[in-house]
Amino acid sequence: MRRAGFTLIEVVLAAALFVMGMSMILGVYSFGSALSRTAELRSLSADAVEALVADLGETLFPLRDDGLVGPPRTIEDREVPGTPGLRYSVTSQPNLETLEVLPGVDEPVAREYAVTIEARWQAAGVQRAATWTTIMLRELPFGARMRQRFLPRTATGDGA
Amino acid sequence: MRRHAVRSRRGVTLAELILATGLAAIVMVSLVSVTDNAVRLWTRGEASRDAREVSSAVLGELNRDLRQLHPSSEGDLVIDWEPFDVERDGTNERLWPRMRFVRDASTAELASVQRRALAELAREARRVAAEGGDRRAQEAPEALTEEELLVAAGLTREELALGGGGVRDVDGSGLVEILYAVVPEGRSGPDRYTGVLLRQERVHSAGAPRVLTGDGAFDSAGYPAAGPARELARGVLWMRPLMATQTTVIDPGASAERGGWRISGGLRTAATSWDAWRRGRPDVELSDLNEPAPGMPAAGPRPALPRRIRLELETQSRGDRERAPRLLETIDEAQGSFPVTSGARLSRAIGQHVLVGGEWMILRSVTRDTATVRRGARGTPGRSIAEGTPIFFGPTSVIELEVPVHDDDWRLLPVEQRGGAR
Repeated sequence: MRRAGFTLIEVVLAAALFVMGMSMILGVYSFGSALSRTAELRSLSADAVEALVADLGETLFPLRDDGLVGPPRTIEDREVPGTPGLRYSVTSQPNLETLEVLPGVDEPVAREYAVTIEARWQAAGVQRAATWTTIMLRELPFGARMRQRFLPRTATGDGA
Repeated sequence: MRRHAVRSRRGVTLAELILATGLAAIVMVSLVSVTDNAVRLWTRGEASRDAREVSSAVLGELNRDLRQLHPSSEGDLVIDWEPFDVERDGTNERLWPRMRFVRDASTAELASVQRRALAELAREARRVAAEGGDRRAQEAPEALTEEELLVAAGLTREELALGGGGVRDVDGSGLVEILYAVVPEGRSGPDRYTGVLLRQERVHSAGAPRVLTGDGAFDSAGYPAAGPARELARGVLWMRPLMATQTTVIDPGASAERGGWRISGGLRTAATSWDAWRRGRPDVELSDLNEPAPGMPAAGPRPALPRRIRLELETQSRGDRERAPRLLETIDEAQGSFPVTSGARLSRAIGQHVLVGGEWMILRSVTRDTATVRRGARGTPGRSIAEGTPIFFGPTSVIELEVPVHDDDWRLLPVEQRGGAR
């Protein structure tokens, strides 16, 4: 009767299979954590986007020296305030039916823009994103106008 | 045949044994490290989810209240800071914020606020009767019968069935006074350093004296004085409201330290306290944070409301606080590096603020069981801290909310009257 045990190859193979199986099972944990982090950041970004849109209303369109408001800036890869790990970009698409000519600018500029905010984060090494689109008029609210005109000229302005 | 039997029954050679042990070791090491990583990731996610749940509930409620700030002459907003001498040694270790305001409420909401208040009074009456030996009131004061609740709310069963309860005119609206205050969670032990967030509400009728936004809202020790308060969250480590004035520049691109939400300096920075009528209600003697911001408009016929409010909140669950790492030796006022228990757990907080006794520190690094910190953060001075003091920390949650009834008002005070202007 042959009573030979397992060969080395068999043991190594079995061990390898065991490790593979275990890491798959444990991988579910990391997968779960990554999912929950994604859910968390997605809801955080949804909370933050309201404040972001309000900020953009004041900062997206530059105030020119002649008091007119220029075409929107493009914002690339900035940190969402108060939310580490979450970054956002802003792109704008002009509504071509609302073009008008500004003095001193060659290209006609639209009055209305579709503004897309894209928030990005990483979960388990995968880049994820959520986007929101809103329509904004090329104008500045009174308060923002006052802040931009008045503050840089104040002696007590910046306490940096 | 015989030779074969001998060969087949020989044991393992030393080389085989070593190889097998080595392989087993490699397998075990990789398994343990994978398990360890997975478990660490999981507990970390769990802790942050716990904290996020609490803070999003609290911030959601605050958000709902503050969004409806009332802008007419009956409106009000007072935000100030109250120091607490939790160690009872004559110095103030903890500084907690409180916010009081008047907001709009629908008639339906007013009725339910009133009903809750009446039920609370009935509960109190029953408790007093029970202490006086009234047999009928011997049961737990919380367990009011339906009849008693109806009587307390001044309702009949029919009225309730018809959707009554003071709600005659569902289109109308009124005012409620709301108070949020953080007070120390306990009187001794590590609990005295953490806070509990309380909320009170009260129906306010135009012209009537104010209670929650008036002088009598707090007792001399800084606890809410008028009526019962509801607990919103325990284990509060940090809560800070910041208000954007007319002139605060909020730059979405910059970090909190460099951006418009800086708190010290000139017109561009944010306010840490608020007095909608500029009556000097935040007491500047108590804390620098109670100084009015330079960008506040002069008092006018309407309350001055902030453009935006940013709320920061850090909480830690009871379980995490009990398992918190502790100091292994007593440290002096300036010691930047000290041994702690379970450095591995503390390493989660690297780069964050940690609360040790009454002092905030920024955790720089953790090497084995030695923590390196920057002392005296968030305006707390360095102090000597006893061995065994737990180290608290939790994830920070931030919301920024627009104040829709904010009106731009550029009647800024002359420079010499701007408190805090430099």
